[in-house]
Amino acid sequence: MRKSQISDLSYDKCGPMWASVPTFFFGSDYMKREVEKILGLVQKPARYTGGELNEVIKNKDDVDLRFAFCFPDTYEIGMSNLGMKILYSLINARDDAWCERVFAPDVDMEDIMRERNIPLFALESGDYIRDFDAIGFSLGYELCYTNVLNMLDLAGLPVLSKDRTSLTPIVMAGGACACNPEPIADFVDLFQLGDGEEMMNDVLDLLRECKKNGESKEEFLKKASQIQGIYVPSLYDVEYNDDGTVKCVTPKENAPAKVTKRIVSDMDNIFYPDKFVVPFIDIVHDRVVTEIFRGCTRGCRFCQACFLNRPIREKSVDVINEDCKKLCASSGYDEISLCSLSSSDYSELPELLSELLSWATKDKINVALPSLRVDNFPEELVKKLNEVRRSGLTFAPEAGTQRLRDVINKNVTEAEVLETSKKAFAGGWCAVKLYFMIGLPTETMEDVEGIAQLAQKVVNAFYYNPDKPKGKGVNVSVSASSFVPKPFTPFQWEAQDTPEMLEAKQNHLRESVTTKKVTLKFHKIPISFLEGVLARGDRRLGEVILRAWQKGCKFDSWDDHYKFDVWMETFEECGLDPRFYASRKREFTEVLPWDHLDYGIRREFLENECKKAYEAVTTPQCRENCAACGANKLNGGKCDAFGKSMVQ
Amino acid sequence: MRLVRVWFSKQGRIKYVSHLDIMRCMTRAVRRADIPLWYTEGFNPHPYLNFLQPMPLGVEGLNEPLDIRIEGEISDKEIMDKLNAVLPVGIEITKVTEPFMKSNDLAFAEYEIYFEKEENLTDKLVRAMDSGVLTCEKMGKVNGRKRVKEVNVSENIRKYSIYENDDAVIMNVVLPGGNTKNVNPMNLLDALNRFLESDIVPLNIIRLGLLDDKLIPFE
Repeated sequence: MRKSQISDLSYDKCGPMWASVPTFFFGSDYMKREVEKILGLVQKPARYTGGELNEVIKNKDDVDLRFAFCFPDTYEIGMSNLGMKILYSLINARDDAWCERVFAPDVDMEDIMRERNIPLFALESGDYIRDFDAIGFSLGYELCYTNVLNMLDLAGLPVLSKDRTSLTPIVMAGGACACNPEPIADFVDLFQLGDGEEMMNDVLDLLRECKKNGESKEEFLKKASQIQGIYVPSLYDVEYNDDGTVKCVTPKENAPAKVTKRIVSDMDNIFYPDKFVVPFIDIVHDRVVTEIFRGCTRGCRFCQACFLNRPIREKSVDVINEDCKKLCASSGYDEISLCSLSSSDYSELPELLSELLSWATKDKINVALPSLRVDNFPEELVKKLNEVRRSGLTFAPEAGTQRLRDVINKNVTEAEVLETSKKAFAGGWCAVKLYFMIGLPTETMEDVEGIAQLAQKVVNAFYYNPDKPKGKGVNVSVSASSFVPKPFTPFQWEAQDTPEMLEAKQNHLRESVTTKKVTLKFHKIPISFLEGVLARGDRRLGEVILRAWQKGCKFDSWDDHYKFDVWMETFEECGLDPRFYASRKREFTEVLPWDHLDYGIRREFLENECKKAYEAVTTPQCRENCAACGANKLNGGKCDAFGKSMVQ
Repeated sequence: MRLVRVWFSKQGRIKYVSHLDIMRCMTRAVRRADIPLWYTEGFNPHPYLNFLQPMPLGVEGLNEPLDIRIEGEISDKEIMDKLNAVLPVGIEITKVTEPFMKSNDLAFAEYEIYFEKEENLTDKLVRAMDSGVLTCEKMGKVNGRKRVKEVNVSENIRKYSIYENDDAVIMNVVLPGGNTKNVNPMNLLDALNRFLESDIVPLNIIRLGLLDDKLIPFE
């Protein structure tokens, strides 16, 4: 069998030293041949191979529905997403469905895939997703819209909903951006508003039924629109006024005039995974994550997450503790992160932490508590948390002066920021991160200077501190993002600062910082501007998104891929002014493009909050006084802001 | 504290997971396996794992050694079974032994490279391998700066043979793979393609095992 045996290097012994393998490659655990061939040519090929611990493999002949869960960004970002982890496990818990993961291939991979005509495939089976029954996108934020189109196209599917005529694959989307899905209404067949845990199962039940009965896509969508939380954009006609604002939105085919978001009422009996897929490569958040509550009691006026996720629903200590134990055992992670919009507001935080630490410290597992507030910083607790490994400290005063913090209802005082920083320095930290926003409503240059002054005071607090760590300097890192008004917040009517104004403010802040102990970080203004346009856009933006994507726009949130000029040129071609969407102040009487969607928050409440903002009047947080936002009506009057399971 | 040498194979799509990521994956696996580990005593306690020879990306391995420090009573068989129960598909522990040789003894690695069959390929490969002028480009340090260096591959081919079976043309080759000198089979392929002015992508590359300077299999 050995055809040639050459040894030019004066070596007598030939043949293997180690035993060779009689069979090789093309086994069960290999990729498709055409994919294998290109994996050697791309960066980090493990992003495209799957095969991670705890991935779910099923026999495709045993399931009725194949679901491609698409995340419109790279593997590293998508794999960090908690919503995806939950829905992946939830769908796979069904015997009749197999959910697989799909991420946006990075540019190098995409180029080769297009060159060699390899369509987008799912990680688990390696099968092409164009043959699946459902494709679901998670829309974390607006700048991923072009990636949604790009992924559909890579899959070999028409990007426009109306061009996909068969029932399957049905394209759905959910996540924060579903609250104003109008800009991408032309591309997605249905949107899921609110919590997906129960709604996803309802949709899949219906899809299975319709597939079995050979019903059409139209039939399916009509029926789906009757499920609470499901918005089928093709069943709504939008008319515009001459000035470009929305005149009215009219439902057809018996679709509800207002689509109300879905919530799960009891966090203790909610589905939660006991296994996470553990990636091989380093991803953004690589650890056990457990949700401790949904919603937020604080009501900061700029914060969309707060209002989209109300009413407050807490998980009990025992349930969280069990979740963490199971997940650590099944993943081997050495870090647990407690996830919520404001962890220190969890009503039984001390109990929870002592339960967790009772076993975590022994197992060398670190417990991280992100999203801490300055005004109730649990100093003792944080000390305890850092017994295993020390993490960084980040606070978010959001605005530089008290007046502006009152405008946005942040309810944090300068004294509190300084007091907490002192505690942190006394505890041995010498680096603190501070988050701010610029471009907030009513902001003046003095407010911008306030950011620099506050940072300076934090630096001073370090040097006045007698307990400060010896021989070390301090670093205060200030991150100033640009404010983007979002739907369903009291600022949804506000004009976003124009790019010119934002630039002037960034420059002013740069000049106001006089010490090297403070490092400044800004968001890129052109990116924030596009985000502002898409966030409050209407259906007419569909054409802009389509054309911009055709011209090569994708990964718009990535500095090195964002093509601002192409976007602006496309707006012009479509006869639309981006400033109409981003930089225009709306009247309370205007019909907003998302007014036919209901997230439980009363419109009068938002208007009232907006008026109070102008007067710099704060609203106490929900635990002190219910502000009657109206969200509790979604949960039969229940809201955990007043203690668990208390009916208001 | 006891040092054990765990031997594993890495086959299938997991070959695209890089060395660093395999390290993290193994660290988590030993944690999940509930093996009594010895932890380092610094501010950031972590278990001690030593991969003796990193694996190139895209290469399968059949006999890869990994040293682990154990604290407490556990049999070799138990370590193997516990680990195999928690490892991802594609990695398998084949045996657990005492560490007989030191990592300094490592000098060579033996690979099998599988090529898609095509006419005259064997002859072409033999011509290239015997040419004595195979070179490739490699990132390396010149005067402390990172530069692309031209490396002579020919003088590094310790020995090789080429044969065919029904599916493929197979090259068995021994390349330097020690602590001081290391030539990646990708470098060899690169050099072959340069010499033959071709664009060959192999079907598979397998590292059969590691060898000492006398070409005795590493133990």
